Amino acid sequence: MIEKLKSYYAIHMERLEHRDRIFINNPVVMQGLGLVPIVAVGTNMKNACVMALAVLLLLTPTRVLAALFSRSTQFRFKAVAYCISAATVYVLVSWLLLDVFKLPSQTIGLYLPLLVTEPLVIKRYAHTSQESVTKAVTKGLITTAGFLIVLFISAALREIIGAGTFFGKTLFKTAPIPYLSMIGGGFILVGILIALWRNLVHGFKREVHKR
Amino acid sequence: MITANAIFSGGIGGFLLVIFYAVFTQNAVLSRGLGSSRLTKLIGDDEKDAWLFAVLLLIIQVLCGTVGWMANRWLVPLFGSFRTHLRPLILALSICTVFFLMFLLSVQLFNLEKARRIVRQLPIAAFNCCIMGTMLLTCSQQYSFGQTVAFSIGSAVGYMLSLLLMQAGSRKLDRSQIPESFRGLPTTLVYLGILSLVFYGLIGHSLAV
Repeated sequence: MIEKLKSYYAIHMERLEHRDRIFINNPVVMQGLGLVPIVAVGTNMKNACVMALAVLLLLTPTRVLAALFSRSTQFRFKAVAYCISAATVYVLVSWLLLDVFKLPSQTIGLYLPLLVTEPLVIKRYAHTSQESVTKAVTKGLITTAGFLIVLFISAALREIIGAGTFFGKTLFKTAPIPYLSMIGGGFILVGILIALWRNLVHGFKREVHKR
Repeated sequence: MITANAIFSGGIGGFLLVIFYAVFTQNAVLSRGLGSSRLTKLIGDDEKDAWLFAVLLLIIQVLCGTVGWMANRWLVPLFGSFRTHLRPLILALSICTVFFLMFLLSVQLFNLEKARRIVRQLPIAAFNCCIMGTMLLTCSQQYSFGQTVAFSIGSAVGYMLSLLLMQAGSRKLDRSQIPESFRGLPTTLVYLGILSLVFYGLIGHSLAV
């Protein structure tokens, strides 16, 4: 399985370096996008699940709507199209999460509406090229997947090491490093996680290039 | 816990206290993580551009705070029980208004080269989590107009302070001593985490045990 994957990457490396948003070109690890939800909200798995659902419902529709809007928008004003699209989609997402699914949003607070200006959701405006609707759908879904992986890894580690629990169930009587439950600790953990991830990517690329 | 409502009793002293509160106790980046994605990128940017961004952020933050306060007071209540869902859209529209205003002002007031530099930074400064986060905070805490302006100034100054500290740290780093995979974003984030801890020590946040 791993050998097959390696040979696939060896053949398609150049293309995958741009398109693979999950491992090689992960939006959080390589571009530093989506740091606010990961660091401020991803302190435990329950919060991470609510945030994940919000991003899943928001990111791709925003890109699609913005791709349609920004066709008639000048490059300098594309940011407006992306932000308004995100805020419009957010109205529906917020209604679904809070009124229909009745998810607990108190712990997330202002970070849920903050997704409207989150670079992960709207940063596509900085590209000069026009995005087609099909590309917006595929790239939106892949970017969401890449973000969710880092969010869940970080939230799981922070809950276990920072609070000594996992999904609220106690694993340790005392939390090993309580500082990880705070924003500062989140920065440190995500920094280390990114360094390890980048190390893995470099190692993987070296291995593939050897072939 | 000191709150802006408790310390703001009017007058210039109260106004300055809210600014102080926003810079240190509620620092946008170090206490709340707002705008951290952009901040990590600014460290690698040209210093002139980074400071132009910071000044733009300050102006936009104050203008957005003002427009957002008016929108939240007079427009948002019209939507009744649906206002929670619509508030971000109304605040986003406020940001867009300020963005267009700043765009027109930069084109009118500055020569072509300066205006181009400003216009390049404008969308990044306006559509920033620090701006939206501060607006959401002042709206949810139901600050008065004076408190909103003071908190907006303090929030942007807090962002500038974080940028200053990050740049100072970055200049002193000996890159040859840092392992390759830690260079750039990871080091910046670890440094941000340590700075955040310093702030917690300074203002007395207790650890969430």
